[in-house]
Amino acid sequence: MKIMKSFKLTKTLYSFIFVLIFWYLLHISVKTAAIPSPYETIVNFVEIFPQKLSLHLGASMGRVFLALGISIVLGSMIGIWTGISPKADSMISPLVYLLYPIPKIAFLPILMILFGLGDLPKILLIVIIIIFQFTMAARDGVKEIPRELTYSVKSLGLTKPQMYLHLVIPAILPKIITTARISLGAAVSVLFFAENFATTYGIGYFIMNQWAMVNYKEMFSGILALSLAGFVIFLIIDLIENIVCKWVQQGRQE
Amino acid sequence: MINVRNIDVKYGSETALAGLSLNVERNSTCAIIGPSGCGKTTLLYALAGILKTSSGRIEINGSELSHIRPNTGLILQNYGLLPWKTVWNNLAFPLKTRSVSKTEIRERVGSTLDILGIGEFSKKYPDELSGGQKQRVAIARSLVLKPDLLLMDEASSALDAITKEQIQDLILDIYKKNKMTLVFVTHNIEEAVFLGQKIVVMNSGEISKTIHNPCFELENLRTRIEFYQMCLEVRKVLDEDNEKF
Repeated sequence: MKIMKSFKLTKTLYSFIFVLIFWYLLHISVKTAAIPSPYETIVNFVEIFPQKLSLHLGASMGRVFLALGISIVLGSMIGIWTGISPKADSMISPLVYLLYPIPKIAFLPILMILFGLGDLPKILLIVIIIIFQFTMAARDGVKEIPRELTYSVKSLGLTKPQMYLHLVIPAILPKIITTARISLGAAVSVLFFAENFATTYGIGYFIMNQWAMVNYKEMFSGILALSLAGFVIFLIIDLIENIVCKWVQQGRQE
Repeated sequence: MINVRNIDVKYGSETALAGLSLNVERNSTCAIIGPSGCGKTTLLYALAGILKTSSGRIEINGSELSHIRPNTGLILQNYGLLPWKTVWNNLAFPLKTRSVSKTEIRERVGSTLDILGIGEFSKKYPDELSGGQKQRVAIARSLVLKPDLLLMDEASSALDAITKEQIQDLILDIYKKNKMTLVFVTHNIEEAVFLGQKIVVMNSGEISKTIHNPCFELENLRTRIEFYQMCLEVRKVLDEDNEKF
């Protein structure tokens, strides 16, 4: 386990060094103020993080976590329902297939008209974009539960809520966690877009505002903050997976 | 113990069991054997209360089977263990759902694991175990619930020859030590003769013959000529049956 941890740490360090080298090469080869050096940016990042960046990052992460949470809970519930009930599947799945490919990002103006200029339309926009992935992941997860396993658990005389608790939810958890990882990128991208409208807080607003003010150092500090936040969220998801899907990890080590 | 009267089970428009009747005495063993798709697993699921019959009646201990009985244990070919629970928790969770006290759970799970010789695996997940070990855990999970009726669906068919015999010996040992009725489905003639006091031959959703097995529980059965004679007799019935259908 210790060896695995140090191996992971080495790999992470290697990735950081790789990104920094690539960034530095870009800085010296392009020779434009739009790409400041990594050193300058990191110094600036450390300077502005406590007073400025952390507020913007906090606002953005709050929106992302809330949207992710709503999508996981609501999407999984709909997915479980469609996975268990063929009737629900025949009703919901065509709807999902129809709505999923629509570029819902274009709905932001409508959401702002309907729900005002606050956080709600931004969170809702992320939710309507990523919820479908969770619905489909949960539905497929339920359908993939072997019939024998269901019979076996049923034969133990479990009630319906106990069946959900001991069989259905653990069975779909690995898929939900993978979907959370995939959706996170989409969620952050959508948020970045949404934060360019009707807000003065959020990392998307901060980056674009610094760009408009030709303050590239701070703009890059914002990008760095967003990258680090994404990295931390991925680590949190890994941690959650290690706790709630320990059996998957054990299986992989075998 | 088990009184099955004229039951039909259908999957949509397809009939899996047609007018089947069967009696199994209390504390006896009954092997159900037959070709694939003959309905033997369907019969087992119906006895477990998982599949509903479309007509007829199943009585267990004199009362009609209308739901899953808490005292019926079911062991399946693919073990039916929850991959996300450790061996210990696979045994403990059905007890928890029945509101058994923590102390009793600890006692019952611990002693059952020890009896089956799998105490050392209690913290392992099913995916970390071999087929034979998984089957022992599946048996343990049924035993921990103190069943009076144990149903097994091809419990040893996924195992290699040596482990298969070990599991069969274990099942016989459990049957001898615990008073229970054992009904098991198999496609293995030797297993049917080794474990079945009564051997029920099925074909096309019906019982075609019931054979009484006089060899059952004889000492060192696998080394005796009577065992192989009985196997030949069952094989003959199965062959005649296959020609008929």
